[in-house]
Amino acid sequence: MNMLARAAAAVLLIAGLGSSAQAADPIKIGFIGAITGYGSFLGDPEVKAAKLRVKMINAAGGINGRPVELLIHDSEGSPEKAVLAMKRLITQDKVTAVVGPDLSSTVRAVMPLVEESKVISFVMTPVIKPPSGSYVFGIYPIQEYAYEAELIWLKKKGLTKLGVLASTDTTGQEGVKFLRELAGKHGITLAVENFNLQDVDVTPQLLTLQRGGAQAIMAAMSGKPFAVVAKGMKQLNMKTPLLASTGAVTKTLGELISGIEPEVLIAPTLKVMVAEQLPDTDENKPAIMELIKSFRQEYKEESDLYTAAGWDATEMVLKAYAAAGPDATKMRDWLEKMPRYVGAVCTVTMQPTDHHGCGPEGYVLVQFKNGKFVLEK
Amino acid sequence: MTELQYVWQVTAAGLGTGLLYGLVGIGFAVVFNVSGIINLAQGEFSMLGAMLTLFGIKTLGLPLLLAAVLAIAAVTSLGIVFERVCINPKKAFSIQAAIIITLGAAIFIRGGAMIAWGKDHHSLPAFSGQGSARVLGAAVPFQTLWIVGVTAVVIALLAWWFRNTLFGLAMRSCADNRLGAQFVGVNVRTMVTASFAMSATLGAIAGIVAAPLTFVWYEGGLVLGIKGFVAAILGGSGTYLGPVVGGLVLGVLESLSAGYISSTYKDSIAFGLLILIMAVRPTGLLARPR
Repeated sequence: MNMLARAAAAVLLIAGLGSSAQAADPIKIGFIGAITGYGSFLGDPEVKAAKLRVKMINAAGGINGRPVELLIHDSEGSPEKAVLAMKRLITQDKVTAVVGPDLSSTVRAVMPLVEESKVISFVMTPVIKPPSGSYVFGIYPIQEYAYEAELIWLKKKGLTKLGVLASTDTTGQEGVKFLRELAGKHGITLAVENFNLQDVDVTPQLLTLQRGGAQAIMAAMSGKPFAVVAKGMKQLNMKTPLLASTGAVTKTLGELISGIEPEVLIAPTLKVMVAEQLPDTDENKPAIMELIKSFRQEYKEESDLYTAAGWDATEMVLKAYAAAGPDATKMRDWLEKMPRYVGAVCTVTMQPTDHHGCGPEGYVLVQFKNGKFVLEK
Repeated sequence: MTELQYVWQVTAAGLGTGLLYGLVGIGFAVVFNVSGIINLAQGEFSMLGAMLTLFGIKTLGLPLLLAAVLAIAAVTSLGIVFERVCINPKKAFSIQAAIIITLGAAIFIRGGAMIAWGKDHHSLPAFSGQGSARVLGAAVPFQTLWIVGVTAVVIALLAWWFRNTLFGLAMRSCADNRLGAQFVGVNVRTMVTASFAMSATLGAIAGIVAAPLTFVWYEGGLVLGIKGFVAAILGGSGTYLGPVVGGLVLGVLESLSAGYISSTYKDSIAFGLLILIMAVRPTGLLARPR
């Protein structure tokens, strides 16, 4: 009898140990982003923000008592590598949710795999519109809203002929598709020229647009390629306004285009980029200020829209996991009816038919003046 | 803008970019002629030259000229050290192995630059402002005029060096016949080291004058390297004018196909024409078949 009791106690003890070890098992969440390569301007801040968010959540006790482990994969901007990373996360690490990918070409590449394997993929691009029932969700208000804001600006200024320079990759071509759909609605005619992201000179394309009578130029790309356009316009002494896409507004833009600033540079961006200029009544301001403060403390760096994206995407994935995980389908259903979330990117109200959940008010237009972004009112 | 002005402006833009490709191409030619090695880290030498100049100006507060000279000296030293440590000690000198080593060096330098300077793009101020001059009615950036000047000086110096100095003649003898040069007492290995030093110098110079036009970042050497390599192959590396001509042809082809045919397919058109040219003249435009 005594022996039996001891054995029972031992079994209970082992079982108890086992379950407590299981409770401390980390929740594995995947991350895929263009951390290096030409997309590093977005992947790098995203992953930093995601890591910081996870670190803060773990410091506060984790999710349901379990710490979170972020499994980070670098797509280097390549769709093939993004697919490989997603496969690894699904088959080897058995994650139920992934933050990312980010570049639209990488998102498109992983989407079939995501839907088939039923994992949550919280992508960080404004150009993909996941269909209803999809396992893909997106941060950012969709790109159409940004272009629409710019077309409305053009109309207000009485400019009706827009020359578009688009990169030959998915991001550029998607942008052109959206613009074509929207331009007619606002009475604006388009002329489109393409260029390769690696190019060091785009003056031939600019000349073609200029000859076509373009009253404004839109450069649907970001980072260095955008600066190449600005440089080309300066060289040709073109004074027409230059409209940027959302991606162009970064903390390094000022340095990059110093000396080649266009006469008028208009860009749609997110509130986080002009945080200090926002009125105190803005509902996203507290979330944005928290991000800026924490990020500065951790990395001694300033936040931008990519840190906000990494921050909010990680937060929403973890919220969904806490509420409905580890079942991806339940997480999807929860996300589709997620309570209104006031984030650093924008205020999110997801619908089964809207997997982004941000309205047009997520975008603000800014003008670049003397090295600073000034809110266009 | 009249049709003629338009053609000329598009062509001028292509000539400017092409000259840049050519200047990088000369560096390939120097190493290839002396050693038979294709130095795949050529573009990275350019990137490093630009990065170090930027570092000198922005971080150390040096004036442009001093920063550029120091950067060129540093990259040249790196070229010498790289050749001495990685390529020279190989007992059996194998060109294939050396090429793979240069590829490794390229990746190493790229990674090092990423760690040292981060992943952002930087811009080096144009030497005489961002404006452009009018050349026969076409806008040509001041920086392109700098590239024209620097390329001319570089070609003149190379011509003098290879014709009038004993060292230059010894290097040329290696280019002609490595075994024969060895028989008459030329230290071929020293010549290979010297060729790497020169190509590093040339690469750094090209990178620095190009930087205000191309922007500076850790992967910036890749495109310059590829286009420079094509320029060298296309023009023929036998003379130092070859890569320049090759670069100009490539630049103008790219520019005209973007301006006239289709900006979407301009690279396909330019490179398609290159294949055609190479099929007709496999030794390059300027090289005399041996």
